[in-house]
Formats: sequence, C-alpha cells, structure tokens
Amino acid sequence: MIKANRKANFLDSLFDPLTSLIIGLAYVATIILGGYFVVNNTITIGQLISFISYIGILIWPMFAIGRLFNIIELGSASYDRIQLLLSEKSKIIEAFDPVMTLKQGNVNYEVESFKYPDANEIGLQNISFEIKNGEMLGIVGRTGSGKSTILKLFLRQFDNYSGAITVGGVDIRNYKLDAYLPEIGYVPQNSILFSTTVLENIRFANPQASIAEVEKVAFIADLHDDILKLPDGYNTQVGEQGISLSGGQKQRLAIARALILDPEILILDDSLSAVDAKTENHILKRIKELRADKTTIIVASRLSSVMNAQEIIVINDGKIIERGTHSNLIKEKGWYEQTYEMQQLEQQLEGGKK
Amino acid sequence: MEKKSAWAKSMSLKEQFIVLKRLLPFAMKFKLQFFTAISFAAVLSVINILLPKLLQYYMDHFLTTKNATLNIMFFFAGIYFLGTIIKALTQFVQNFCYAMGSERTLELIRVKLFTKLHRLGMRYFDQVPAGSIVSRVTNDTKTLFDFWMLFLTLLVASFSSISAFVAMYFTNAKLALIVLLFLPIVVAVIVYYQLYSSKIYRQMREYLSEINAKLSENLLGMSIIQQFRQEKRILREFEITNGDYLNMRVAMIKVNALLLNPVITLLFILSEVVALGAFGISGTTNFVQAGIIYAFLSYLQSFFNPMSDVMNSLTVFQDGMVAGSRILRIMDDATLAPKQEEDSEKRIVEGKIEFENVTFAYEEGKDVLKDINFVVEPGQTIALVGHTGSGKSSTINILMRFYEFAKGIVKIDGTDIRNYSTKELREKIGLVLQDSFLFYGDIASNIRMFDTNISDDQIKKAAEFVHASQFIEKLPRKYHTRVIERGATYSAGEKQLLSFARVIVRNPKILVLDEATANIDTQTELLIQEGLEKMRAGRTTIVIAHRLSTIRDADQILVLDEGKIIERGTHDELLEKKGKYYEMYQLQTSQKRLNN
Repeated sequence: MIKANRKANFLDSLFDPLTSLIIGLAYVATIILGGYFVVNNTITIGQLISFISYIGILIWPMFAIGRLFNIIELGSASYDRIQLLLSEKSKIIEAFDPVMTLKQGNVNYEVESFKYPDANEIGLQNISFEIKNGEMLGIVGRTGSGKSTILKLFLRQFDNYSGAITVGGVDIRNYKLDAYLPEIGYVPQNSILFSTTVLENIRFANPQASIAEVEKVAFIADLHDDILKLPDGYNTQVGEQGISLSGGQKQRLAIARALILDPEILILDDSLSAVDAKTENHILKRIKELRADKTTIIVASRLSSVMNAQEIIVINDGKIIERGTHSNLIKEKGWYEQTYEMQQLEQQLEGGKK
Repeated sequence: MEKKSAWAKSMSLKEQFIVLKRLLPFAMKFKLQFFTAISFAAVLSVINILLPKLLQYYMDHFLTTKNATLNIMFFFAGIYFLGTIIKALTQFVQNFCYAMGSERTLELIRVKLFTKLHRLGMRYFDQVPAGSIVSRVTNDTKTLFDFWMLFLTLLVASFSSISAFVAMYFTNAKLALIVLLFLPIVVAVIVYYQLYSSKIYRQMREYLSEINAKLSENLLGMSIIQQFRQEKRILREFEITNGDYLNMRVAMIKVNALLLNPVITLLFILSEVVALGAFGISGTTNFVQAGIIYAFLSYLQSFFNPMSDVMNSLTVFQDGMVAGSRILRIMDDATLAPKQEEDSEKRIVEGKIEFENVTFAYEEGKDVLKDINFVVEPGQTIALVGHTGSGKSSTINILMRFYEFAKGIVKIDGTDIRNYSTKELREKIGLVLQDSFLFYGDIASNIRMFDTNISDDQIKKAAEFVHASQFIEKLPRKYHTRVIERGATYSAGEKQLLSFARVIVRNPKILVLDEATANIDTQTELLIQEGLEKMRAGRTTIVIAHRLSTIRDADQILVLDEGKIIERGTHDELLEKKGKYYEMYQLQTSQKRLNN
C-alpha cells in the first residue's frame, strides 16, 4: 500500500513544481522581450507591470485545469459504474395481459427442473405438490437441500423454470405482480427490521392499517404481550437506533408483519427457529384458527413446526425424497424419522425446561 | 433521530488539543520527513519574495533608465529561470516529503490499531460490530491523512503570508503597517466563516450519514421491500432525506460563494487601493520607482492569497479531529485480552488441569460460572454435559484464556495458568471447535496455519493419523486443493477432520473438543470417532459432549446446570446416582430402543 501511495504522492508532488516551472518560463520570456520593448520604447514600464500581473493571474487557472482533468477522469469512471447499475434489467417481466386479482389460495406446484442462472448444478428437480384452501404444507430437509429455492420460485424471484406453478388455477407468471405478491405473506429466515417503531414495522406493508388491525396480528404472532412490556409499547423504536429485540421477538414481529395484509398464502421460511416450543404451538394454533380458509406453507428445520401439516415433503439435493403426514413419515423410518428422534433427544438434553 | 453521529458533535478546543497532542508522537517518528518539508516550505517562501525583488531591481535599475543591454536582459532572465528551477525543486521536495511523512505516520497508526485489535479481548468483539471496526481502520485513518495534509496547507499559508509581510515592510514600511490594519478584519472573517460553516458542515455530515444508514438498511431489507411492494413509499422517504441533504449543500455553497473568495478578494482590492493611493500621493511630491510599486503589489497578493486556502481547508479540520478521537478511543480501550506472563519459561509437560473455585461472568452481575472445582489428571478425559447456557463453553473460554475470570484459580501442571506465555498455552492446548473455520488458501495451508516449522510430510502424517487423508487424497489437487469462502465446498464432517489434523500436527498436551452437533453422514462420523479415539490417547482431554454415547469411557463426567456442577463421576457412578445424568441417559437409550 505504501508503495502504491509513494508513486501517487510522487506524481502529486510533481504537479505544483511543473506549473511553477512553466509560469517561470513565461516570466523569463517577459524579462527578455518585455525589457527589450521597454528599452525600445515600444511599451511603457507600466504596461510591462500590468503584463506581469496578468501572468500572475494565469497561475491559478493553470492549477485548476490540471485538477480538472483529474476530476474528469474520476467522474467518468464513476459515471460508467452508475450507468452499469442503471442499465441492469429485471429478469422478472410482467405478463402482457396480466390477471389483476387473486381469488383463491389453492396451490399447484409442478416444477420439472430449475437451475440458478450461472449455476451448473440443477437446483430443483421434479418438485410437485398441491395445497388446497385452508391446508398447511410442511417442507423439511437439511440446509442447502433446496427448501428455500422452492419458495423463491413461488415468490417470483426467478421465472426461468420448466413446469408451472398455479395459484387459484392461474399460472403465477400471468398475475400482475401487484396483485400476486400482496396475497403472499412471506416471513424470511432472517427477520430484517427497519429502524422505526414496532407499530410501523408491523404495518410496513400497509401503513394505513389501524391500531386494532396491528394488535390483532401481533396477537396471532404471540407478540402482543411482549410489546406491551417494551418501554413505549407499540411506539418503541427498534433497530440500530432503538432497542434490540431478541431473536424470537424479531421472528414473531416478522410473522405479524406478513399477516397484516391477511394474505391468501402465508409462508414461514424457517421463521420459528428462535421461538420456543410452547410459543410456537400458540402461534401455529392461532394461525390455524384465524386463517381457517387460507393456505400456509411452513419450511422448518425443527420438525415439531410441521407436525400438524396435511402434507410434509422432505427435500434432499433438490428432489423430494419422502412425503406424507407426520405419522406416515414416522412409520417410513427414513430421514424424517431419524431427524425427529434426534431432535426429540436434543430437546430433552437441553433440560426440558422450556 | 435523537442520537447524533460522532460527525454531528462539535468538539471543544480542549478536546481538539488533546487529540492533537496524542497524535503528535506518531508523527515524531518521521521527524526527518516533516522537518525537511517544513524547512523547504520556509525556503520556498523566501524564494517567493526574492523573485519579485529581482524583477523590481531589474525594472528600477535598467528599464526605467533604459540602459538595459541584451546581455543584461539575458542575465536577469537566467537568474530568474534559475530561481524558478530552485523553486520547483523546493516545492517538489516539500510536497513529497510531507506526503510520505504523513503516509508513514498513518501506516504506523494503522499498524498500531491493528496490533491493538489483536490484543483486545473477545469481550470487545462481542460488543462492537465488525463493520465499524473496519471503518475505523480504513476510513478514519484516511480522513486523518487528509487532516494531516491540511497542516501543510496551513504551514505554507502562514509562511507565505508572514514572508510577504516582511518583504512589504522592507519595501515600504509605513505602507506595510497600514496594510496590517486589514489583518484583524481578515481574522474576523475567517473566524466567522469557521464557526458558521462548520455548523452547516456538521449538519451536512449528519444528513449524509442518515442517507447512508437508510441506504444500507434498505439494501439489506430489499427483499422485504419488494415482497411487500413498498418500493414507492421507500423512495418517497429517501427523497425527503436526500432533499434535506441537498438543502444543506446549497446552504454550504451559499456561504462559500459569499465568504470564501469574494470577501478576501474585496479586502485585497481595498488594500491595493490604499497602497496605490499612497504611492500616488507620495508620487506628487517625490519620485516613486515603478519596480517598487510592482514588488509591493505582488507581495500584497501573496499576503492575501493564502487566506482563502486556509478558510477552504478548515472544514476538513473538524473531520480529522473526529476521526482522530475515534481512533484514539480504540487505542485506549481497556477491554484487553487476558494478560499472560509472556517471558515465562514455564512449560506444560504433564497436562494436569485444575479449576479451583472459578467464578466468571461475561457481564458484571450475571455469573455464568459459579464456584467451579475439578481436577483432570494427565492423560484423563473429562466430559462436560448440560443444556445450552449451562456453562460448558464458558469453561473452555476460561481454559483457552479468551476471557479473564473474576475469582478462583486455574492451574496447569500445578502452575497458575497466568504464568505461562500465550505461545506455550496455544502450542500445548489444541482446540477443536464445533464449526471449524477454514481460511482462504489450500488444504495444506489450513493444516499448517502459517507455522513454517511444519513440513509437508508432517502435514500428511497428521492427516493420515486423523483419517482426513482419505477424503483429501480424493480431491483433484490433493493437499493443494484450494479452499475458498471459509471452506463452503467441504462438508461439516470434512471440515471437522481437517481441524483435527490442524490440531494434531502441533502435538498438543491438552485437547479441548467441542463436539460437533451438525449432521454428519454416518461414514464420516465413524472416521471422526476413530480419529478422536487416536487423538485422545496420551493426552488430557476436555470434551463438550452433546451425545452421551460418545463419553461412556470418560474418566470423569461433569453435569453442569446454570453455571454450577450439579453432578460428577464416571458414567457408571452417575447412572447409579439416578440423577439428572441418569434421566438424560434413560431418555437416550429409550429413544434408541424405539429406533430398533
């Protein structure tokens, strides 16, 4: 680093002397020619003095022009980068004649294969499932197995797959994004909150939502009581400038945020991991009761989260390796059963206190 | 926003002075560069007053009298040219020396910071986000560099003003003193500008950091914003903050446009008017030489010119002060890593470990270890069992000296652990963590870990010993296969085996193992168990166990709960006791039976 800077400093330090030298040469010429003209009475000494003052005025612009080139260079490099960003095009294109409303949340997911752009390996292969209105689907599998990829397609983050995903009988690629996405309440793995109040975070998707609506979703997410314990209740600042919530509280807030639009489809992407088993039970029960005719997809690493789902699919290497209800899968004695046993054990080892 | 960033606070003069005083010693290491630069700056200002003097002499003695011959003209031109070359050289030496001196100073500060960071305890890194530390080491030192360069501007400016005044005085003393009357006005303008502009400048910084914060938050939460279709609203909010920033910029430009050049130029022209007027008046009674007028006016210009430079650079001053104080805050941080007696000759030979009444807390008042007592004889294996937060990892953090403990004593081979050098401790205690961290490089470098004393052959042997060689040999370039992105391409089990090899190649006396909980396929699991078995032979071992089946043959098992040892003994003894361990074990075996 010092070496590179030494060169830069060297060049920088050359700039002033070079300018002085050029100006100096102008003076030298003036001394000789000006002197000659004065002696020959071509100009007066006053004219010579003004001339020399003009040279003095020239100094600053010469410096400025030098700096200007430098700045132009930097500016054009920055401009190119900004252009590059601005010219980036979205891969997700709205359908030509989009469907404007989403009426029902029954899902038919039939993806034959999907590859991430620039990836060599196949991301998903032959994933198919159906969720009827009011039903719950559980997706489990180890990290990196492709669980989140299934959701990404569903959320229209990628459109380049073979097969089709339909919601309410319509291919999701044919919906208008503004009609489709608000009907999907997505709760991501990492619950990112914004630096504002709890209230504004919950009604992020709908800033016009009433306090009563916010309290209702906070109740479903089993967060209401926690919020009342905060210093300013719903008006408590969170994030960098405010208080920091616990991992479990953040996850529950993210769930409430997704529920505020009362979406047809609720997706929990491993978003109960920091919530203890009892609270998890509460939340799942309330979701079931209060969203009786709506669809729910739960991705989980803890199997207790999906135990009550109508169907559970086990993903490995982008493929479904096991599927069925909890009791069926336990009987199958495959990955699901082994993992379930292990997690039961772990939970007991943790002291069984929770 | 209630809390203001450090940029928005104004520092008192005293604080600024303290920061300066403490930064100075860093620069003093490069005295040579700085003093060279300063003396050349002085020389430069002398040359700057001599050159007009030369012209003055030329005009007064040869041009007004019209007796200049071509030879005289060339003679003066030659001298002037020589002067210019000397001036250019001086300028170069001054700039270059100063810049290099600053660069070196900053490098020194950066290195000191980095060294300091390595001496800070784990506690510090628990509290301060990594991003802000990175910004301290890179951005703040850069700001400090700009600040340091500012001194040169100030130095050159004052040299040139002072020398210009001296020259004026010798050209025409009375007039020079009259010009001096303008100085208080200039100083007043500078002070006013500094106060007013720094207020705006601070506000501007504040808005800028708000923009940055918003931007980074929104980028981080982009998926949420898009998912909930809030792009337009977020854009509106951003526009408001951006607009605030714009308004401040405009205010800044207004102040600069009014005060920076125009006022100084106005004062310069006023003094020029006074000077010309005075010369004119004296010209009515006696003869004034044209050269003198020229020289005086050009000195007047060099007297006023630096003033706007000074004003312009004063805003950077505050920035440098803030950056400097933030850097000093890290250097002053007392959250040091636990102290060792570094020049101790004591060696760990046996590997006996004793904990006597050890109490420890990460945060004051919340003890996570309470009165821990245990002894591990050389070669024995001790297992720590308990749920999350029971104090297993804390016990290891104490033994590894990552954190200083409050009460009690930890002994190895009968000597207080504080009396060993860090080197000895790190060499003789091998740590295998749950999640093995792989570094950028290749397989061999990840086993060698920068210890050049370790031969390739030793690496191979270590890998074979822990059964890591089996998978390494299958890799395309074997021991020279690249490891990128923290070893993302390797499975958890493979990483575990690599970290075994990393530990065993150093042949430690004591092994500290945090058993992996990650799902590892059965084949690798078998290899790991075998590798562990071999590693443990002849070494004192402390294991954090998550699966009870793996510690059946441990010489001693400690069951921890809320920082206390609630049960201790061998596997069989604990089973007989029918306590917590028994419960845990029962559960495990019943689950097993269910499986089969």
